[in-house]
Amino acid sequence: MGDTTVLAVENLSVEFRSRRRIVRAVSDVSFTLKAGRTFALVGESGSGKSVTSLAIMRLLAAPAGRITGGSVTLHAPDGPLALTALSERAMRAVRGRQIAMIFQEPMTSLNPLFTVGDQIAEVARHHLGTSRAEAFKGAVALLDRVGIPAAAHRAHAYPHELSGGMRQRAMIAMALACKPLVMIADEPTTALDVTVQAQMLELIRELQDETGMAVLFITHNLGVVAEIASEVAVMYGGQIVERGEAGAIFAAPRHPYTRGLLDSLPPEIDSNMPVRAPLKAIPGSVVDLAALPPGCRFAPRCAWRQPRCETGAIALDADPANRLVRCVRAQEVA
Amino acid sequence: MTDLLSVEGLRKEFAIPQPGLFGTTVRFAAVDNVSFTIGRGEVLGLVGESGSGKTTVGRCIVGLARPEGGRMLFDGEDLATLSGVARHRVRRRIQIVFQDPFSSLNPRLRVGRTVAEPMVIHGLCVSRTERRERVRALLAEVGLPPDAEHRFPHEFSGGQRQRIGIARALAAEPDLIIADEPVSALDVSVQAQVLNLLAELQARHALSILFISHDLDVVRHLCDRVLVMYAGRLVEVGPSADLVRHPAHPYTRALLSAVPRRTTKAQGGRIVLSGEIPSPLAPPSGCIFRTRCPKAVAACAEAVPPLAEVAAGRLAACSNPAALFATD
Ligand SMILES: Nc1ncnc2c1ncn2[C@@H]1O[C@H](COP(=O)(O)OP(=O)(O)OP(=O)(O)O)[C@@H](O)[C@H]1O
Ligand SMILES: Nc1ncnc2c1ncn2[C@@H]1O[C@H](COP(=O)(O)OP(=O)(O)OP(=O)(O)O)[C@@H](O)[C@H]1O
Ligand SMILES: [Mg+2]
Ligand SMILES: [Mg+2]
Repeated sequence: MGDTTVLAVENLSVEFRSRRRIVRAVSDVSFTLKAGRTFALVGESGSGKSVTSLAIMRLLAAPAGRITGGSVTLHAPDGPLALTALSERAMRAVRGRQIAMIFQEPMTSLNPLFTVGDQIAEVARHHLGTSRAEAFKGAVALLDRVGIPAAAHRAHAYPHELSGGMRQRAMIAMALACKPLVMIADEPTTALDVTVQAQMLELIRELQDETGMAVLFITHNLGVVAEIASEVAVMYGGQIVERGEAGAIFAAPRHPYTRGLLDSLPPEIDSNMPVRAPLKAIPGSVVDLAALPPGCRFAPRCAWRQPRCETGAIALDADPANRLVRCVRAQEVA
Repeated sequence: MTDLLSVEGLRKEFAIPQPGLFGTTVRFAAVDNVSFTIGRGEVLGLVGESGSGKTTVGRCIVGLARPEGGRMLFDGEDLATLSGVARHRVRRRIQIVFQDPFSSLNPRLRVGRTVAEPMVIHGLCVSRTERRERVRALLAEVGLPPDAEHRFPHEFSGGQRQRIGIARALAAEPDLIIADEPVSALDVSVQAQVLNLLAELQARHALSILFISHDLDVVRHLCDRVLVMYAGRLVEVGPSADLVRHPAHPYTRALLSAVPRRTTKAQGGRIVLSGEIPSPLAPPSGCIFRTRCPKAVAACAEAVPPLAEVAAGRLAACSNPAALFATD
């Protein structure tokens, strides 16, 4: 099961155009999602993770946001579908049914005017043609399964009547309503406490074992990545700068940005570090995606920078262990 | 010196709809008899189960929710009885940074206006040029690009929007910041910058912070003391370094064991909480955690255990003495 490709993203590029500027939000991003496996996207805020997932779903804000290159292919049971070439109508049938998405901010995707139970039921009614009563019963069962206490009551609650974590769980329930082939989860556990987060990760794993669902998991929590993902891609400035097996990358990062990322984390919980000891933040600020430098996008902040880094684009090269790194000094960083 | 904020017996109820009975509701206590203090310049962490009432506690303190019971003294003044000018003056000194940077920013206001708003409301930096300079300084302080002031919230990533929220809170020059998950939407390198910034500001202005978070690594790093909530009640209070190392309450232990780890494994493995999360509408008798507690005994069903001193500087609410600080 683990080697069947369910979704392939190839050389995907996305731009946002306004009169004043062109923001190159995603540049030449490639990865594949495998059946029953979780692929994690991590990286700097504003590096293009959410835009990548929105592009896969074809939910970019038109007309400013556009896919300017590359392709996304869904390997559905009845043959491959080039999502980047589908009509909006055909794409609507894919969304929610074959690819479900949990958005970074649940309040923006839950409708404040309907109860959460009705919203989850609506997904099943729309895509699977389930009867109203059946669908609502299914919604309550799902809310219960994602660990919402008093689910039969809460199904009748409006989104603003739930805590942040409950809203997030309601979103997960909604995503699972149609047993999708692919689930894209953008920071799905950020609002959850760690015990519920652990349950949620366990639930996702169970469903993956049951249904072979592939998961694209976007998160800032590297501990979560270490627990759930088989592969991880690190993004910086719209590009993948490092990609490979999660455990190996955390043990020995090869890209200076990945290394800076790991070094900037607060110490793990049982450390002896004194309270508020300064953390090693990466100096400098995020690259401006509307004014990208000609060479390495991380170079202006990089301690390993050399003149050759700033002259031309740096390739994402594979090392013998199949790790991809976009750095001319990858071997020295490790 | 007195505490900056003292909360005594706080209670906040909500009504939720009754299934099947259209239009009828039932009430439950989202926050039940919660008492704690925040010292001047103290960073106090608030952690606990999702839905346990953390945000509600914060909203009661800043006046966004009206409690049904209890007392809150800020710098000696009772927040419930203040009115008019006095109320306005105290409100400036308590600011909140929200859990959710998307819905808390006005999408139609340019970022510069959003950040300047508290100054206008509270009459700080009266001249326009002064205000603009202060906005620029604040945006720089939280690490946003200089042109950010002219842009709209939707043009920023999730993490960048959270920094706008922090800049806005700082604009009021508060003494106490209620920070509700302020760094959970940030990537770790920006999180490090913001945590360093909070630590710096805290030290420079002797700022008090109530820091609500699910990230226990971050709480251990930033907070002097920690409150642990479960289902509307406080179950444990203590100095953070000591508490994470030697948790007294069985819930705290389960919580700590669930922290995802990059390199190490939790000592003694993960404690998986079995049993139903109790319905707040029909809470169990006695200790509210007992239905999921691996250490529950008969006594736990009898009375609500009070938050009592269990070691020097450590409080816990547990009826089973054998469960306290247990290591298995
Ligand atoms: N509608 C839009 N118009 C203009 N620029 C946009 C728009 N949406 C996103 N961007 C830009 O695209 C870039 C990528 O944003 P994206 O939301 O993908 O970041 P992210 O990696 O998900 O960040 P975070 O971790 O903070 O959620 C950012 O620089 C952002 O400012
Ligand atoms: N406006 C409201 N109406 C009805 N119930 C509410 C309202 N706001 C909060 N609640 C309920 O109060 C309880 C506590 O919610 P609160 O948001 O304080 O939790 P929290 O500890 O902040 O959770 P999280 O970690 O998920 O953010 C929850 O059961 C929630 O459903
Ligand atoms: Mg995002
Ligand atoms: Mg909350």
